[in-house]
This record gives sequence, structure tokens and C-alpha cells, in this order.
Amino acid sequence: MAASNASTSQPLLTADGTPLKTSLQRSMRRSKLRAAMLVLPPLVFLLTLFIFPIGNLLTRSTDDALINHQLPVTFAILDQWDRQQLPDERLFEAMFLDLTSLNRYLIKDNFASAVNPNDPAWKIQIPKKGPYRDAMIAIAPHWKDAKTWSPIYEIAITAAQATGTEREIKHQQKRAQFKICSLLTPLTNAACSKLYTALNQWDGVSEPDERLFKALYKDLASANKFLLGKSSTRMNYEKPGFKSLIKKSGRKLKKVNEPPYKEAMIKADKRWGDIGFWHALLAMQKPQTSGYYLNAVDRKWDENREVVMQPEERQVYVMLWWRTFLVSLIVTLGCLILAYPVSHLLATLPLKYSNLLMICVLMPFWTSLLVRIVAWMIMLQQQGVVNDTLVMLGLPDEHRLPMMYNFTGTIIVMIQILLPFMILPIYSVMKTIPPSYMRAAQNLGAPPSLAFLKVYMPQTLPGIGAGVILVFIVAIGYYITPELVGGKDGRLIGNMVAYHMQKSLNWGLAAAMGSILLAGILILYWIYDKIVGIDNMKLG
Amino acid sequence: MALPVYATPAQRLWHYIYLVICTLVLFFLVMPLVAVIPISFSVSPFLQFTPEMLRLDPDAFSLRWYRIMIGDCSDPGITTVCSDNWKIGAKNSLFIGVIATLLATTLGIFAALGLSRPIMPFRKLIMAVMISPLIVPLIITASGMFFFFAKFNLVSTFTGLILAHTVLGLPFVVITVTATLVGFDTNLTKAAASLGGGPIRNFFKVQMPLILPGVISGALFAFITSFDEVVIVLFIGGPEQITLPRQMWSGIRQEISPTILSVATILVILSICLLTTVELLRRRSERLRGIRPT
Repeated sequence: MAASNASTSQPLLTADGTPLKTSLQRSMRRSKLRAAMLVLPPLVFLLTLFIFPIGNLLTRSTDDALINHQLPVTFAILDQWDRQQLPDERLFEAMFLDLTSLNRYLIKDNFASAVNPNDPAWKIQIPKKGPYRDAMIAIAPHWKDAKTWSPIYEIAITAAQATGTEREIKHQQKRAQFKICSLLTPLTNAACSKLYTALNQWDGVSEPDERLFKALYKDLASANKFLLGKSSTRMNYEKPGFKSLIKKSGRKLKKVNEPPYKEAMIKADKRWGDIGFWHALLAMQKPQTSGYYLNAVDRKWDENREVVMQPEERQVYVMLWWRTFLVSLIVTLGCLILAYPVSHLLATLPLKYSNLLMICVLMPFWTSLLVRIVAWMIMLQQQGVVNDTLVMLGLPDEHRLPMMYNFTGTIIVMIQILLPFMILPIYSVMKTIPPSYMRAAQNLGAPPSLAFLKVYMPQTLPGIGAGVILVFIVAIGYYITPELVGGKDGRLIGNMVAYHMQKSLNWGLAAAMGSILLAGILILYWIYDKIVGIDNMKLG
Repeated sequence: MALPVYATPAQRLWHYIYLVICTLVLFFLVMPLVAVIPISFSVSPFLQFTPEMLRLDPDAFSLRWYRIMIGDCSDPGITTVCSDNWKIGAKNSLFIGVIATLLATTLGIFAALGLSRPIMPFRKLIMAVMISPLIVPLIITASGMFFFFAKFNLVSTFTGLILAHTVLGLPFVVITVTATLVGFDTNLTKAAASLGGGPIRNFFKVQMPLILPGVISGALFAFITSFDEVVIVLFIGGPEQITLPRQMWSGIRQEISPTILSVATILVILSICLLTTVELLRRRSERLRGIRPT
């Protein structure tokens, strides 16, 4: 008692005289810092090259800014429309301007939410054959100032002074042209080549002349074409037919010079008189959209801003989600049923034999995925090993089983590929169960089946849980196997993501489907962590 | 596990059924890979066992597909595509795999050492981040990297592929090295430090030899992951980045010829070698750390 009293009243000191508490804290801090320093390089590496890109991908699933750059005036006054009847001349005029004029790149506040639709500058027309300067300055007076031009001027002359091999110089110039366009327009992959040349012939201080404005006009016009193509694709997602409507009427609208625009547009293409196309605009008005997510589950916004089902012929995704879930479930269960006895055998055999059998389990695990798929093609195709054997055993030749390029093929191949993921965790749990438990249970009078159900099985549950979740997680995101052996009815959601990434280029939808998939997987990952703990993940 | 002598006939029957099931499952796992090997030596361009092969007729076997694989197109009888692509693919895969493995191993060792320290803030979170490339579906990783790499001009470059494969290989190294560090006796490093060894020398002379088995098996996992990776190559690789899996992919999609089977055979043999190495290393590691095999 006395000693402890003394220690509370008088702090303990270390050899160099500092209080023990401070010294310990300091050493703790140093130790923490050292650990953090070790982890930092790999962590930063993963954060920049993995976590950030995926986060960036996910933002694409709600991004709808592009269309707001295309239709700023229309969207600014869209809310004034009653949505019951065809819009009046005002909205038609806004749409006409948004589709045909370049003014929106020159005016400063050109994003839909910040637009002043009453600004007379929207209605000024730039003569197609020039002179451009006066009209463009009338639209946006700040372009008269050399200072407005200086950021793009800097880019152009810096690139022109680049040194290096011919290829490098060319590359630098191309990049500069992209960069100039990305400052002037919302596009990052349009090239402003005319401006680049014109800026390099300019001194950077004198008042911008007609030549510069001409280059600006020409480059904006070609960028505009590009943007219009992209945004009409976006509009097409909302209402099929929009792209062709914009494309078809675009050519005719070029010849229209004066109001009334409503009649002119409907004359150019009568679909402008279809209220459905105008209703579709409502869903795109906000720079953030949930439309891609709705689309990913076969739903959409209707004209009253309520969520409704897509028309019947466009409903595919719910079925695909359902199929993905079903395939993963069947594969997981199949793996479990096949893995359980084998794991038991491996865990109970003497080490000599089990090591040999273990190689059978691990060999597919280590073999290239594509090799295994090729191997299965040989086994399961119409003239494959399995069918040949069946024919030899008496199956009529014309009744060869179709086992490849369909649902069955996907399931069989996926089970074989994922089986080791199930065997390994169950095996490692079974190995820790002493055989004496079963013997004790049977000694106490339980029949083997009861002893198994009541004594052995419950102890293997952690392994089953780990294996089931692991297999399910891997199966749900599968892409390669269904793509190669799935045929038409074995495609899963992963294939749809790839399709929208590479073929249809509907990146927003791909990102939305990816996020839903990822969310599901993260939940499973979290459960896995609760059951097994990610620290306990083992390989081989 | 043998059957006890007092087992009833029903138990005996059940036991044999159980053994048959196990054999069938193991057969199911290995059979397709084994079937590839004989067909790769076939003369015929069809991917099946011909009647001649089943009769073990020596004329039914040849090495022609292996010759095509290494780019020897002198065989007059071949009608399939014959190019150097397999050779180029193997070279590229090896190059990307080796560099990605070296990077992943270095970074992974750092991570594992940090995570195994007694005091590590946010250990769980960091571990989750480190393992996440294993969990996130490749298709999502590939899509994300595609946009990100496009921004930095890394699409269609070897650098881009190497970085991407490093990301995929990193978790394997972290997991295996962390596992070897679990049983690590920290008194050894303390003893070394008390004898005057600096932290760097201490690491290379004391810690490294003990965790080496884990490091090597992690590195092998990372290598095989890169060597086998196809989704990311399809997304961010350009025409110059022909890798072995990519070549196989296009072979499977376009015109499946027995050349693919020759490649597959070689890969199966390679995988057996790798597997054996990892297994031996694991045992060595357990012995070194004093864990007795049960």
C-alpha cells in the first residue's frame, strides 16, 4: 500500500530523468510512426492506382454534366413548361439555339444551372462564312481582350517550343490541341488544331484579329459536332430515336434563319411534335442523375418524375441480375456439396496421402484460367470427350448433349474453377477438429449420422461460411468464363458491364451496374470479415 | 482413415460410396487438364481424340502444333494461322510478370512488416485496402483503371500494364508474408539489435531469411496472377501488348486450333512446377518457425 501511494504521488522516472509516462508515450509514438512509414508506400500506391480509379469510375454513374453543356438554355427554362401540352415557341427557340449555335462556348455562364436565358447574346447569330470577329465579340465582349486569350496562347507557344525527337514534338503539339479544346469546351478529346496554328502566329498582346476568331469559330464548330454526337447518344438512352431525330433535323435546321422555330423544327422532323421526346428531357435536366441506376434495374423517370418500369422490350437487366445471383448461388452450393467430402477425406487421411491429393486440388488452382476453359471446351463440346464417351456407352449419336455455350456449361466450368476456393477453407477448419470428438459421441450411443450432424458438422461451420462467401464473391463478378463458354443464355452482369464499356460505350450505365455489383460484394466482404477476419485469409 | 473392424455393412457401404464420391470429385478437378495433354500431340487439327489416337497408332501423334507455337511455319500440312505471336506473347508476359512481381513483392514486404508491428493505427482498415484488389471483380478494376490510365497516357503502354498487374499481385504478397510474420519471434530482432545490428542489416540478416519462404510464395502467386491475367490486358493493352493470355483469348474466340493446347500443356507443366515449389516452401517455413506438421 505504502509503495503504491509513493508511486502515485511521485512520478516514476526513467534512467535519463524523464517521467516514465512521457518516455513511454514518446516511444509509442515513434513506433507508430515507424509502422506508418513502412505501410505508407504500398498504401499510397494502392490508393492512387486502385481505390481512386474505382472511385472515379463510380462518379461516372451519376454524372450528367455533358448534356447540361449541350442544352443550357433549354434546361434553364424547362421548368416553366406545364408538361401537359407540346411546349410553346419559347422552348422550341431555346432548343433550336442549343442545337445550332456556338454561343454557349463564348458566353461565360454557360452551364444550365447558371444560365441567364434572357441574355440577348443567345440570339445573336454568327455568320457562317464570316466575318466572325464582330459577331463573336457582340456575344461575349470579353473575347475582345487579349487577356482572355492568354491561357490558350500560353499552351500553344509552350508546346511549339518543345524539343526532342520528331515523334515527341508531334505528341506535345497534339496534347496542346486537346488541352486548348478542353479549356474552351467540356470535351477532353477534341483537338483544336486551327486555333493552335493561329495562336502560334499571334504575338500574344496585340488585339485579337479576324484570323484568330476564324480559327476559334472553326474549332468550336467541329468540337460542337462532336459534343452534339455525344449528347444525342445520351439522349438516346433516355428515349430511343432521339439520336436519329437530332441527326436528321440537324441538317435541315442549319438552313433555318428566323422564327417561328416551332413550325420550322416540326417541319424539319415531325417527331419534334411528339411530346414524348420533350418529356425525356426532364430526366436529364440535373447535372447529377440517378437515371443510370434506374436503367440498370430496368426502371426510368417518367414525365411526372416518378419511377416507372422500362417498356417491356427494353427490360433485360433485372433478368440478368437475377441470373447472376442464381448462377452464383448454384455454383456456391455445387462447390459446397462437392468440396465437403473431399475436404473431409483430405483432413482425415494420413499426411503422406493427403499431400498427394492436395496437389490434385491445387493444380487447377495454379493453372491458367484460360487453359482450364480450353480444357473444358475439349471435354464438353459436341464432339468432346464427355459426349464421345457417352456415345461409346450407348447414347445415340444424334442425341449428343449440348453442354457448351449455354447455362449448363457456365455452371460446370465455374464449379470446377472455384472448387479449390471452397475446399481450402473447409479443409483447414476440419484439420483442427480432433477425431476423438466423433468417437466420444459414438461411444455415448449416438449413431454415426447423428454424431456427424450434432458434433462434427457444427464445428465445420466457420470453414463453410468462409468458403461459401469467398466462392460467391468471386462468382458474382465473373466475366471471362461466361464470355467464353456461356453462349447466349450464360451471360452474366459482368459481361454486360464489359459490353457497355467496350461496345456500346454507355459508360454511365456500365459504372452504375459496376457500383451496384461492388456494393453487393463489399457487403459480403464485410460479412466475411466478421466470420473469418480478413487477417486470417490464407492461400495454398 | 480406415474403417473400424466392427463397422456394420451399412457403414461399410456408406464408406465406399464416400470414397467413390471423393474420387469422382478429384477426377472432375484434374481430368480436363489431363485430357489436354494427349490431344496437343495429335496430328489432326480437330480438338478431339481421334480413333487412331485411341488405338495408340504412332502416326496419329506429332509435334507439329508445338512447332507452330514456336513460330516454325515450315510444316506444309497446316492450315491454321502461324505467326510469331505466341513467342512474342510469352516474352511480353514474362517481362510484365517479372517486373510486376518485383514491384509487388517490394511493396508487399513493406506493407506486411508495417502491419505486423505491435502498434499499428488503423490496422484493420489498411489490411482491408491491401486485400481489396483480390475482392473487387476484375471487370470493375479494369474499367476504373481504363479511365484513370487514359488520363495519364498509360493506356496501351507496358508501364500501364505493369502497374496494373502490380496492384493485382500486391495482396498475395501481403497475405503470405503477413502469415509468415504471425509466428515470428520478435526476440530475435531484439537480440540482433542488442548485439549492435542496425535496422537494415537486422532486416536482411535476421528477418529476411526467416520470412523468405513467405516472400517467395507470395511472389509466385503475384507472378502467376500477372502471367494469367487477361481482363486488364483486354481493357488497357494496345496492339503492341500481346501477352500469352491475350493471345489465348483471341485464339479461343476466333479459331481454336491445337496450338492452344500445346501452350496449355506447357502452362499446366509450369503450374505443377510452381505448385510444388510453393508447397515445399510452405513446409520449410513451418519447419523454420518450429511449427510441426500434424
